[in-house]
Amino acid sequence: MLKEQFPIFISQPDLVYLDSAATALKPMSVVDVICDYYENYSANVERGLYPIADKATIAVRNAREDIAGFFGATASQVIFTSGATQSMNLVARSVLMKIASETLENDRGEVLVSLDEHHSSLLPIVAQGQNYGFEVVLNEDGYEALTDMINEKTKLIFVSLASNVIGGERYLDSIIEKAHKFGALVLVDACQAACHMRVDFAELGADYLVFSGHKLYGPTGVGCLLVSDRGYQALRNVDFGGGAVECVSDKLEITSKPGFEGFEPGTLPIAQIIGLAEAVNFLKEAGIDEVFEHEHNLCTYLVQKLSELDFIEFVSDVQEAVHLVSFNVSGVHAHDVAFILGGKGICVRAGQHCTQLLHKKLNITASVRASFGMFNNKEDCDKLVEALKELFQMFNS
Amino acid sequence: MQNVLEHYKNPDNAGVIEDCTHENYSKNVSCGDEVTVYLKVSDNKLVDLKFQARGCAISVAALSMLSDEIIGMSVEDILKVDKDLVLEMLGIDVGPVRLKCALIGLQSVKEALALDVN
Repeated sequence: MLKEQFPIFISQPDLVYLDSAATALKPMSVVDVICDYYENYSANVERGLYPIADKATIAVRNAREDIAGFFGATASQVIFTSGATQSMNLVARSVLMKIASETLENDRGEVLVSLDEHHSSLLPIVAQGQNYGFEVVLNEDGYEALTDMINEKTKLIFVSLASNVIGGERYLDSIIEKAHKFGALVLVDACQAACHMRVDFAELGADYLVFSGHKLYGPTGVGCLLVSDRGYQALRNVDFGGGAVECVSDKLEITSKPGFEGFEPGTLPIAQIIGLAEAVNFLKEAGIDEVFEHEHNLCTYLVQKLSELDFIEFVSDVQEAVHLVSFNVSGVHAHDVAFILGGKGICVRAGQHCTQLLHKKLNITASVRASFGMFNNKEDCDKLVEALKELFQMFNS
Repeated sequence: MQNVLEHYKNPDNAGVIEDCTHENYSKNVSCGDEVTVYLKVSDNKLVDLKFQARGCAISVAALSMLSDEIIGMSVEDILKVDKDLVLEMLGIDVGPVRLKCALIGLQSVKEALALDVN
């Protein structure tokens, strides 16, 4: 499926890339539109009054429409950021600062998150919760347990649509429904879901949804924060600069622009936004449902093959894995596994995957993760399995 | 890689020195490599080194090879040992990310020499 559309396979046809959960490879069309911008119309947007500036402005406006449409949102709901990490820091800081400014110190309430979340999700809400005097409630069980932990004190919840370690679909309806019943806001981290499965912001009903462009076959340095009307009402403008300000009075009173513009100070990452829109259109062309089915089938195949090896220790229940599998090789450090596989042209991730608390809970120092992209095939899985057999033999001969 | 694996499976100078003059524990939090080095220094010279290590092959093998190299050296000379020697002994390209694995033993030894257990 589509391997020929990724230029890296032209220079390295035998590369087995199983690390899409870290970052996705880039299709030629994404590289092309970025080069086209830099080569032919690299002007700033929403400022210049000349043809190449108009072209850049229209390209970014169209990109916002295309990206919004792909995620079941409207263009005005899209705030461009540097990535999901910045998006989550922005929401945690902005929402909690606003609540804190409107409540008494002993009446801030709670923020809620699970320990198995990626540090980029877990740490912003924990740190800003602590900064602004909220009680930080940590769910130590699976994400499903969050629903029962929501109460009238809950103010903000961060939860991912798919884990970056424990593969599997997540269903957030009951969490979002109960949170809204108690007036709490919900941010959904879609980093690991966005390029593998259909994600519809309107259907989901969350207040915020975040993802990074580079995990979506797009460039690095860009991501999105999707915001509902309710989400906007809870945000306070916390970053200031050119393009985001409506007016500055003689008394230095700053009025930010309404909506997304007030949260995009400075020059946007124009080339990256154009590249991200192309990546979204590339995914749309491939068919997100077809991508999901393809990757799910591959994941099931790999799990079956790995299950036949008695030295493979899965990190979690892999029966429902859809786009990634985490495991260890008995008696071999995860970094050695990834290092040796790397030497054979097989790219997997090893480490704690930015989930220190989860690894501590699982009582393992690190794990190996194989994750799929739309370009992978069964041959990639077979090469990984054969290499793991050789590796185990190497360490036990 | 074969030499690295040999040192990993059967590291030289593994163990503990009960009457060591210097001891240091180091941990690489991000990957879980742990080493404890025990040094015996006499007349400004490293006369014995033992270590306990739990971690990846690179970290264990590097310390095993390093221990063979530096026993008998003066403290001053050990403090001058840099990453190039460790990488040369390993004989493989460990890449930028695994440098910290390769060097945890050397760093631990240098830290130990900076500590005075007495």
